[in-house]
Amino acid sequence: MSSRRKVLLKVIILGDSGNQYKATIGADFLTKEVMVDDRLVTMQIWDTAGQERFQSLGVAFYRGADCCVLVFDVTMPNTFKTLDSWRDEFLIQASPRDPENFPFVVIGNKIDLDNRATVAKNALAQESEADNYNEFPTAITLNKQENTNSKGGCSC
Amino acid sequence: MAALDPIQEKVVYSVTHTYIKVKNGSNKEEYIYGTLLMLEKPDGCHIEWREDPTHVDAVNDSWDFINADAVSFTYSNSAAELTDITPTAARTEGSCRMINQQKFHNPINFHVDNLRSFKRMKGKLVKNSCIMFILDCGTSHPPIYFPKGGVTDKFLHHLGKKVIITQSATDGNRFLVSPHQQEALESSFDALNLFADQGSALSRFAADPVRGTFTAFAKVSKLLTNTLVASEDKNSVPPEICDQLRISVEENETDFSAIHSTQPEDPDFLFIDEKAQLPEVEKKPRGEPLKRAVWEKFFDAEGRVTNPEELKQIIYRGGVSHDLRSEVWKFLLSFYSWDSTTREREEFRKTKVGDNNERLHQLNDILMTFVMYDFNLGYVQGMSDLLSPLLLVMENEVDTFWCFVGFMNLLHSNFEMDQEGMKLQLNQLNQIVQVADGQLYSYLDDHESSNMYFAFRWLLIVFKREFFMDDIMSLWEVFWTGLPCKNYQLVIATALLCQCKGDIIENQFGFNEILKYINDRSGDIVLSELLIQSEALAEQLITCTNLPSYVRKIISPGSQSSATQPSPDRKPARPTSSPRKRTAES
Repeated sequence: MSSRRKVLLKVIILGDSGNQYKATIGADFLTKEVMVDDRLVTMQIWDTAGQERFQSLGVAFYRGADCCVLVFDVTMPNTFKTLDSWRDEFLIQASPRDPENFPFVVIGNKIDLDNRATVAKNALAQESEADNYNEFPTAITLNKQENTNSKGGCSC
Repeated sequence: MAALDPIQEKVVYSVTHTYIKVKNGSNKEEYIYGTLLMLEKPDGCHIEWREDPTHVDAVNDSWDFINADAVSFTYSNSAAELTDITPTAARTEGSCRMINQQKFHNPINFHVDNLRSFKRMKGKLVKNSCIMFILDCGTSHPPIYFPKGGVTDKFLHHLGKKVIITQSATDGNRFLVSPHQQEALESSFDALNLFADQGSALSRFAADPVRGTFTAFAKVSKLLTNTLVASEDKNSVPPEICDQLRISVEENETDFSAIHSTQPEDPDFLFIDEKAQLPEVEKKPRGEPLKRAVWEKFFDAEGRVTNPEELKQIIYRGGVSHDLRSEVWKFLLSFYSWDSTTREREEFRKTKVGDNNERLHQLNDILMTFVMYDFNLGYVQGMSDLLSPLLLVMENEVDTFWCFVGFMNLLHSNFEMDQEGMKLQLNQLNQIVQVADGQLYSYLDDHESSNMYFAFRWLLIVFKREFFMDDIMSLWEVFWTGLPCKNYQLVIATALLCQCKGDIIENQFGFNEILKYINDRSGDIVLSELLIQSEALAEQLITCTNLPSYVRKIISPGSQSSATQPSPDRKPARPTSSPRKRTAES
């Protein structure tokens, strides 16, 4: 049996979700094991309640996070515009040791809804140039899956 | 990625026709059949459960139709005989699926190094033997039920060759797992002799239940003593200070500031634990649900409910039979007042229907209506959870809406912007747990969990996500009676937490794992057992002679509480005040 050196990576997912009736209440996470070179990384992917009034509780769950994934819906430009405030909120609440270099990942979800996504994609192209996302160690990924976010789409 | 060539996996052992329970579209229990596998992969041994595509549509008790002879066990010791598993369409995404949007179960597929413990139930206690895996991240997979007559022993025997298995001293069904340091040591497992006919604690128990039980109790009390002694040492407060504090508490119960300032972070709950000795009480079995014949006896000639308190007592003890719910819930949720006559109620309903009928159609419409009705609150996540069972029971949207209004009156502060209601409840839960189980409290406190955040979902929507539909209806009926004390939801939460105590402590879970473990209890809690324990705990708290006054305030009527009972006096005869005005009052 090969030795399994394990590394835990705590990832927080943030962003506006649509009006879903089965929203996460409190917080929950899923784990996924990924081999990175010769290291076995256990990703602990956290989802917290999205509504503003529940955010004060989120603090406890952000603690010890190694990475934050900001997700928007390409069919709803507003969900992209709010990413800034999600990021700021996270930095304030989680207060990571090195906020300048804290890794964020941006994911655009639902690009398979092509007809509706076009406008948002243009907006995204413009905004990411105009905005200062490049100052952050940030990757932008577009994700095809609709309504699920547990698999794929994560490239840090 | 960890994706491996399927050819590289070898089946060490497999059990077919196992099943897990999930919720189907109407929130009812459904079985999914599959195969439990122990696989040898290049990185070591994995346990996996794969859904059997031929059984996907099997529902309910269809197991009984499956011939027990068809059950097959295949395993092989020699490498030459190892079987390859052919990859099938069904396993591309593992056995993970969403069943009509209701219950998502994580794929059961893990390396044995990630296994922290497992629980095994043998026949008799449950219909079929089952095994439940708990991982080091706190994930607890749903119990995997073995086919009728199937035994878990052989599977566990093979597992024992891969990891070290230790039986819990406090719970004979729990087995703690630790990885082998070197090669698999068969001897360690054999030395434990868990599954042999003679010598195991379980078989000893079966042979001599009385002695077995007392032996087990002796172990528990020893463990408790050790833990208490240990935690006392850790706290290291000189005895004279303890005495002084105790005196100050006894003399002047309002003088808590003194205690808090002595130990600002951790208000010396230990003294209070020692002080409040909960009395022993007998656990009472649950009662019969309220039946129509009994219900009808409660009405006088004009249709008034003659003795609502007695009626609530019946509902508290046994719930309501389903065909009566749409009638009884209207009273419980203060849509109808108990002393209204049949005629008044009919008139009352007409006014409500007249006002709102056009706007009420579906769940969405009801929520939209509520948003307009309670404009300051708006729509808050979790409200739809509260609404859906009401919609299912009531005949129409209007009744549903007004019952929902009644339910929201009980839980209003849970949803308010400042979240003060939730913070208060989590704080109160903390205080009750301290009194109910000092050992559990100490553990939670040592593991960053005395904030009780893991109970947020329980309390926000009164356990809605933790139970199947039938059970949540029964639980809510009990809750709506307002019996046996204020804030009964906190007593239920404490009892539920006590059920989880063994798993949390013995698996040595921390903040993250406790949250995950608590979330994973969803669909796996036996309601009747929980209510029996909650009732007993409530009685213990109520009858405790030296209960700290701040705890008594939580459960006593008239106290400040987050879930307040609606006024029973709201008469249907004068209901037509405008919705906005009522909101302003509340």
